[in-house]
Amino acid sequence: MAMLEINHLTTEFTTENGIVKAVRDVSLKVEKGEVLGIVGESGSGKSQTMFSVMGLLAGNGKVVEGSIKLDGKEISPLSFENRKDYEKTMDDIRGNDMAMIFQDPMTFLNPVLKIETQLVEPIINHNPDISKKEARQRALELMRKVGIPSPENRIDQYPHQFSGGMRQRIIIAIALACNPKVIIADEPTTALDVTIQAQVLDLISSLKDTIDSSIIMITHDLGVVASICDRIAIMYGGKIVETGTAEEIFYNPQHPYTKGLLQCIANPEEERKKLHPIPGSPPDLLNISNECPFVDRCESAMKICKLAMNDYTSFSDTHSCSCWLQHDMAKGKGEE
Amino acid sequence: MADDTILKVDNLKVYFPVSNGFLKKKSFVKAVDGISFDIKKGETFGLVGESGCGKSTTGRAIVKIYKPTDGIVEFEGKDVTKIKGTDIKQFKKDMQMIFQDPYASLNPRMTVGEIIREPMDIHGIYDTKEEREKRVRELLEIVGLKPDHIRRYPHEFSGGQRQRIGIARTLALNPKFIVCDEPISALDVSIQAQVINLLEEIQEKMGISYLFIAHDLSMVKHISDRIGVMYLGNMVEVGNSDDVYHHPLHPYTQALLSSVPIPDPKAAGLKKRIVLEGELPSPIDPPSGCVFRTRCPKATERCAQEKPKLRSVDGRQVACFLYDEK
Repeated sequence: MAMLEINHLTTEFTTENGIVKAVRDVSLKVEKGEVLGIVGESGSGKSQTMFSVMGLLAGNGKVVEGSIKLDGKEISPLSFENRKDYEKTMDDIRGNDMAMIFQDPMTFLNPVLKIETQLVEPIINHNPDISKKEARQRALELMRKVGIPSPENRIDQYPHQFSGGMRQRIIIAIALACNPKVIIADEPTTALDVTIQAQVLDLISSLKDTIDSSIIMITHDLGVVASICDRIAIMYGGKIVETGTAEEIFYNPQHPYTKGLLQCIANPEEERKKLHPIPGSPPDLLNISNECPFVDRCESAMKICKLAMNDYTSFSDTHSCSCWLQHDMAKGKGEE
Repeated sequence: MADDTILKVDNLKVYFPVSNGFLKKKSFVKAVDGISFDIKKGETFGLVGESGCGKSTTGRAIVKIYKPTDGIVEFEGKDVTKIKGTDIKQFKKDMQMIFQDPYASLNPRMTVGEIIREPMDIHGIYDTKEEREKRVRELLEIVGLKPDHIRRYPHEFSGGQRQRIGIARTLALNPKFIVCDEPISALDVSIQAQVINLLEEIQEKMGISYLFIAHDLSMVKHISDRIGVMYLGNMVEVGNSDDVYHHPLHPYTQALLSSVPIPDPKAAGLKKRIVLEGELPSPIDPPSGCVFRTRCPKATERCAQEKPKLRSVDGRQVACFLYDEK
């Protein structure tokens, strides 16, 4: 059974200018122990999808449709009678069953609290019977697990005494504190330098083998997902346009956006050639209709793309894509 | 010096004073600590390194935003650090800069037309307002915007379009040299390629030389003819971009390149990463000898005592004792 299952999730934000549909009819599944990568540009709704799952949406954001199931249990805010019940359930789930790793290691930690306090807090909150001494022991174990040298000395230090990469390790340790079922990592390496990014990615892929949590990686970097994700979902304009295994996405992309994205990154392993950028810029999600979000930038756009999106066409058990070019009537036409 | 060299940097040092409080000895952040390289006409020189290695400081010292502590920056045979008076105006006309943040580098209260026209007004390039206006429209077209965008304000544009406005502004004075300081790192992947292609087209048409500063190695490899790799204020390797990328010599370059995630699952599985231990040392008190020795997997005793100099090895320059005898 899937560890986390999202079905037809739609999230909207009310703004002065109208309603922004940040997430539109998104369905996702993460199996136990699997690493799923969600790739998209800024404003594609990849973070908002996960914020909807965690119940961390901004005040003007609201889940308007869909179901979210964690290990079989429905946790969508729509399934609760009132806000209070929802918050109470989520307080228990956040940190315990689901944990999140954020992008910026500089602002996530509280600068006036020792590392020990911050690491022990989730352990004590979710295990009220544990003694302080035991909690500290467990914190030290976690620090060893994420590769922080001499944790006995460092546990009593403050965040400013740690470098960016080390702070990101602490944040990963906090996320691991209660053995969550699902870990959501929102651009965990974007703020780090390449050599430090390599260290953190190595850590995540080694953790993948030792813990049985499912991991969701949100990123805009195709290089990052290629190396550690089992499955990849490509998001654009609030929609998932294509999902598949890493091989399927990289070697057999079907959606024009996925194809375009792969063509506009420079692969340093290959000979120098001209890049093929995608013309135009991402869509405005304010008052957007049912159209395909990519329609204005797509080379093979048809009239129907303005009206609605096609259902998902499956190519294999894992690979599917939503595009009218896959429709029987369009087959062989759009490629020209 | 060969005739086709447009910029020559020799032993450039930029130190920033830091105060440690009352009665304590003044110390310095050695942001750039004696680097040398040259750039030929029409060439793109990529400068890469991690944050804090001094690559942006180098770029800014070249355009005279920072005053070098020591060393020479020669632009077309003239020492930039010593030019005075009207020569400065000419220098600033030939040397332009594209900034990283397309949101902060455009004045929100000026229209696009005013932003692009401002350098021409300052340098008095055209006699009449109409001529300038015409040139602004031309420039907008060159960078792929519409001429009737001239009366709009920067907030009406997306990040990629703003970067285009910034590029149009640098082109207004027909510069010979442009320092591009991380021009694409604030942009989305699908927009980055647009800006890179635009920069390449402009270079083909106008023969401008670029100093391209970035931390994204795959893009730097794509656009540059030659690459310089910096670490903690020092240049560790300089060479043709293909050579440096495919056969890196310096241990730091090797580690840096192996850390780049490749957008190809099969190749990524085969690739062996050299993961560097530890973090960047402080530039206030850099390690003795070779600055990289504290993280270098191949460091020897000699590295702590002597500082390796850039020397020619196999048609490029490396600062490492490993290649001494060869």
